[in-house]
Amino acid sequence: MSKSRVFSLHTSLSLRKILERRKSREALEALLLISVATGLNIVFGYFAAFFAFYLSFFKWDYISPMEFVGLRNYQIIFNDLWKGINGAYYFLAPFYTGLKNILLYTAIVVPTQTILAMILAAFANQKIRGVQFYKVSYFLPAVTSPVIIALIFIWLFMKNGFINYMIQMIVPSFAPDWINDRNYLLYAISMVAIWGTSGHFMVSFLAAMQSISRDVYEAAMLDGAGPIRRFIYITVPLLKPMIVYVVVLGMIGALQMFDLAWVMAGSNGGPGGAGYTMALDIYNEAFINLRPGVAAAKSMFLFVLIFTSTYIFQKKYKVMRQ
Amino acid sequence: MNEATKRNLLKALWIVFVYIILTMFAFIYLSPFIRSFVASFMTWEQASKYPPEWIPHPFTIENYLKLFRLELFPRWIMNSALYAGLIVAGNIIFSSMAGYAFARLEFPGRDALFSALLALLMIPIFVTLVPNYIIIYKLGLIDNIIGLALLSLANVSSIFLMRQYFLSLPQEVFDAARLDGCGPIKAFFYIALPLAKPALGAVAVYQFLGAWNAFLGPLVFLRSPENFTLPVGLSFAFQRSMWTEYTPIIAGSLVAAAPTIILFIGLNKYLIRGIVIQAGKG
Amino acid sequence: MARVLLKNVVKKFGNVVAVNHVNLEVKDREFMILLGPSGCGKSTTLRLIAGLETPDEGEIWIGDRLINDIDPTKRNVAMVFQSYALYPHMTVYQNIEFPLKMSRVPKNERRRRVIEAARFLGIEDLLNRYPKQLSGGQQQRVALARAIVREPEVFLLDEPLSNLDAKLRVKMRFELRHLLHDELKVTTIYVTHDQVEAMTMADRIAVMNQGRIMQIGTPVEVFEKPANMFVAGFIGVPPMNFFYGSLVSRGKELVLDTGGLEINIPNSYTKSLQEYVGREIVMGIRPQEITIHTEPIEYAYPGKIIGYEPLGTELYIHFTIDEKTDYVAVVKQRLAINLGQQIYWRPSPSKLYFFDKKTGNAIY
Repeated sequence: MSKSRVFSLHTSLSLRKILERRKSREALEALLLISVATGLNIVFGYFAAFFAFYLSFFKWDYISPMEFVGLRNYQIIFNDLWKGINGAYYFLAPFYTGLKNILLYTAIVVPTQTILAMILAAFANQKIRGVQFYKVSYFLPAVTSPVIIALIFIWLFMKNGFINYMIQMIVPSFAPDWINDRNYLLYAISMVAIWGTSGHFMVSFLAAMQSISRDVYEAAMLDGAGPIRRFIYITVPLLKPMIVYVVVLGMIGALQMFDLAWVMAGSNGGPGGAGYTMALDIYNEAFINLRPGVAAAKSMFLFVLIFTSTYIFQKKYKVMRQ
Repeated sequence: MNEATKRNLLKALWIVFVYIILTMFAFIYLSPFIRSFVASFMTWEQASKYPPEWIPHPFTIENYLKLFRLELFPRWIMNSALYAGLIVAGNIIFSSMAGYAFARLEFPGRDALFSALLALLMIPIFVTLVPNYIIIYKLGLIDNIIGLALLSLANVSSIFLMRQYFLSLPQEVFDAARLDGCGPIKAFFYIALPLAKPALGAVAVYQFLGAWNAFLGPLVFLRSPENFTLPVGLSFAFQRSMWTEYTPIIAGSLVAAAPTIILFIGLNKYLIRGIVIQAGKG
Repeated sequence: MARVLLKNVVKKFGNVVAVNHVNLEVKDREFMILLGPSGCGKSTTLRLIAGLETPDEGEIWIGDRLINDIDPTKRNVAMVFQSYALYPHMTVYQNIEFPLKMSRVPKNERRRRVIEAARFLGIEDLLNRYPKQLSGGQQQRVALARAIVREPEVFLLDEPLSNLDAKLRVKMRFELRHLLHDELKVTTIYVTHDQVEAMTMADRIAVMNQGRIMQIGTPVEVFEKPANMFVAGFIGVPPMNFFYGSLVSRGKELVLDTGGLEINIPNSYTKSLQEYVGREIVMGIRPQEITIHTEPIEYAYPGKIIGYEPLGTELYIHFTIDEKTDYVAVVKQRLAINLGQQIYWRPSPSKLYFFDKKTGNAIY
């Protein structure tokens, strides 16, 4: 009897160890499975991000030794902004120009594409045939490369081009040279962006609308609400989470817009710098001016801009909801 | 006219109105493609006429021929295909493995690590661009498709999608497999992977589209024209100053867009459903 | 020999103690049912035996092997899950074959054993189908086949009948017991929340609540001699009526003083209740052991009808004695009664249960 007790005591002591071994085997296999994916993301994500932050305090040209300059790179940014505010030429204040343009661009693109996507989704969310055809049509631009879209639109935006032809059917004698006129370039890019992404968001909205129970609409109908009031009082409030998602995604995309501007305006921003963006400026700083430290500081600025604007928007939305 | 017929008439009018609006917008979204397609068979002289003409006369494929007379154009197609192939393969392999481990296995720090990966989605590509350029440079892989692909072999979005999919599978199936003698890795190959085909398909399609259309990465990490992918190659080849005619550019754009357009028209139901799932999770 | 033994087993999930010092012995070839409400820890206990969870404390033995540290595969147990957990991407044949393939049984022998198991369960015609092409009953047979093909010493079943429709469930109750107990003669541990299943299938039942085993016994024992108020209230439909009160001595007789009504306690209980005189106790009467009368008779007490449910062959009568508590009687005879009517209810004198109010334990 006492012998078996000793035995069981002994086994329960070694128990923990063996349990740990089994668990640690699972952990080991798990680590094996995640190793490549995690490793790549740690190096190219976290290490790179921290290195960018580090780099933003150094003066460097990729070749000579790095030189610690404290906040000088940030000072360069704020000098640029200061000059820009005081009305310096665009090429003397490139960062200011890029910031100003991208904020205007975001302010045009994000609300327009969101509202357009929502309205189109509302129209498609009816008991009608052929919805799939419309979805595919609206979505097609979203799967096409922005570079290719931009190349095609340069041609469509020519002074004697297709777009002016269509516009003149409504507004005669309005025929700007979109791409070469500094007053119109940014609007042309905005229009292409809206055309390119709204279809994608329309599909998101449509899915969210289709998940709203029909009962709610029928109840509203019995309460005497017509289609427009149903849209305003039922659909829009119930879509709020999707609206936030679409706006946040739209802002993240718009604030770092690069491809369209590169092709439609060129890397120097086109006539009068009208198509210059922060993303172009960071690219130029890093790979044309060869000032990676300044580029890193500017990318930090962009990161903070994106982070705070999306954060504030989400926060505000939540306050609205309460 | 009584109430019922009046209501039916109103309803019919409303449906007609809905169709008009939807069709009008379909025209807006499709017309650039249609207009480009038609014009790609025109001479530049005809394509630049005002008001626009719709029937190619004379019908010509000269634009496409000119394109393939560009020595590097086939090279760029191959490069884009190679890049997209590497990205698709890498994401399928690595994100399914990682997604499975994050969803189904227990190991210390799992949730913290996963949150840390998700947080990377908030960091703009422009922040990591310069450091990654330096890393790839140090590895001697600048101007090399493999070096470029290395950056996106296991995208966080793919890992997230796979993890969500594996989480949605019933726990009991994995319990049964464990009792039947599958360790974590065996269960991955015998159970998880065969069941994950829909999710793997979605990852493959999204990563293909992303890689085929990518511009910034190839622009920065590839240097010599023979290594360019299509978007970069086209953006350089078609700098307006170099061409007196625009129709070959249009033809080139259509050739470059063709794989994604065909893929999308073939798989649209599937793709749109994927978008919906992603949005739902967001 | 495949006795299963749990000694002081504890399993916690965070702060929740799912299994709390469970001691359980399942004899070789015994059909043991773990019965309890959802969340009582019965499924966790099963998963601990299977090796899908590891205990925080205690020991689990199968036969004479301590299996805490043994891999689930090597425990020689098979499990049938509530959802059957068939592999959707494999045919029925591949599903049944899978455990053999994983333990590297040679192909010829695999084939022989799969067909044998399929024939045994009458599903040899379904071998090339996929699970989604099968009915619920067929899927369950496949799950059973996949479990028996391994020739396990211990069979674990987690609510295997709960996904079937009511008719099939009744049929499968008998089939399952026959198959496991009479044909395969294996030790079986079966989890359910359905007391009818437990009563009809089990050799013994372990009633669980809040992670603890409340009672282990044969179906007759747990019904006739419940160890505590939980078991008494959980087993039996409708549940047992409980009358709370203090035990008072009236001369030679004992009565239960409920505050408004004094209920006489037959002399046969006097001896066992002696030490509880003056204390709070609970008297339990099953609804079937109460008769309802419209006229006063001896040993019947007044009550007021507050509801009734005709169920065809029998009638549930809800009555109250204090305008607060709802008691139920089940009567077979037709009875003309109205809501609010005064009736007289008479407990069957030999079928009373008494519990210590403080501990909830039965007094015998």
